[in-house]
Amino acid sequence: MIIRNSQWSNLPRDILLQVANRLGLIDLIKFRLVCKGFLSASCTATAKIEYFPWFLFYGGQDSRCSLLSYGDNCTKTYTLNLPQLQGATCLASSQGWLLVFREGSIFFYCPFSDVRIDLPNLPKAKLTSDHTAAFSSPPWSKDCVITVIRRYLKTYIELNVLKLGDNWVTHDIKYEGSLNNIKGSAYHGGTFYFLDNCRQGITYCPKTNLVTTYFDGRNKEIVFSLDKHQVTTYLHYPHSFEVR
Amino acid sequence: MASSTSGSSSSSKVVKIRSSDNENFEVEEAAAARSETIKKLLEDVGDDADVIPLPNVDAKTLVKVMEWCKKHMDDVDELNKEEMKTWDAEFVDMDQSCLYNVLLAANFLNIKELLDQLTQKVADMIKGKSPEEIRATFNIKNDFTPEEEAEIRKQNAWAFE
Repeated sequence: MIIRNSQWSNLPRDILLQVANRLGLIDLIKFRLVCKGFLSASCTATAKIEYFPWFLFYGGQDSRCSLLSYGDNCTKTYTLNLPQLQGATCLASSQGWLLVFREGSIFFYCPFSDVRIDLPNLPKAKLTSDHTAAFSSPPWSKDCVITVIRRYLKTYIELNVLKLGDNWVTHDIKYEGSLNNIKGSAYHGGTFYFLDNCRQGITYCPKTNLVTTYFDGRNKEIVFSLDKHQVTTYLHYPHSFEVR
Repeated sequence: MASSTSGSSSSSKVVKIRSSDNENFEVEEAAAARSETIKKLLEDVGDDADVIPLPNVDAKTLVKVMEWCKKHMDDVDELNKEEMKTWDAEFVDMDQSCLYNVLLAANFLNIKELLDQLTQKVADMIKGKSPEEIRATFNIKNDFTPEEEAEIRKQNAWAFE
């Protein structure tokens, strides 16, 4: 039987692109390695996220990054070696980007495209293991807000806020009650959440500049405004304040 | 009877199409019009059309495509959706050379739904395979130099574990 060679690699580009657009991330990466025709036709293809979100972890050990995918029946871990991040600390990870701190400089890094976006230096050049961070959206978004936070002297919180394009603004906030070290930071639905390990923490809304503290694990809340130093205590003990 | 040959009834109006290997087919207009390309040609030539030539599609492929068009001529109600799904799945389960030709024909004839089903079929055939396995499946020659291939692999080395 005579098999016509490479018939499939000569398919019109728009058909190949349609096929590529129906593939998941791993399959798309493999598709691109089949031949030149497949590679060039799929350069604008976007992979489907098939089942569950992917998780990107930066372990720090040997500058390795782990990519975790949850499939139908299996969890698979992929490892990305990133020697270019030697000695760096990863502060946060979201939507394919790492927020990285190294030797006084802070930057975004995308392990897939090897793109680095530098940010203005933090006001306090030294970061400790007490610092945690979160960001609202990928750095190409003009609405991207980055927060770096730590607790100090048991009742104070240092909240550093960077709205992309501006400079860092640092707020020192007195926390009513005793807070443990901030263990986790996240951004969801317009609000940053910073939690310790005892169901206490604070939230920060970059749009309204309001900070709300929750403490004693009993849903008490206090809202106050930083610049006006006004404290308003609500019926369910909210504690919010405005930061400028 | 005269009425069966007059073609005056719009519900069963028939159009003639000709394949690249000069075979003529009579197809119900509603089926043929699933192809945006044929529909446009019909609009352009009006009722004067004798035979619509389709120089890019051979007879064997055209039969296959028109089989799909006939099945998808009418709107599918909820009850028949499952049955149609089964039919579609069996339809796209064809040998590779046929799949390739029908894919090109669906593209040329501009039948979006068929093209969607066929590109999905090809994607399903690719899923879970390594680049080598994909090449073997579709008999594709690796035209990268070893250096080029290594470079692309390096970019996403993690995915090839």
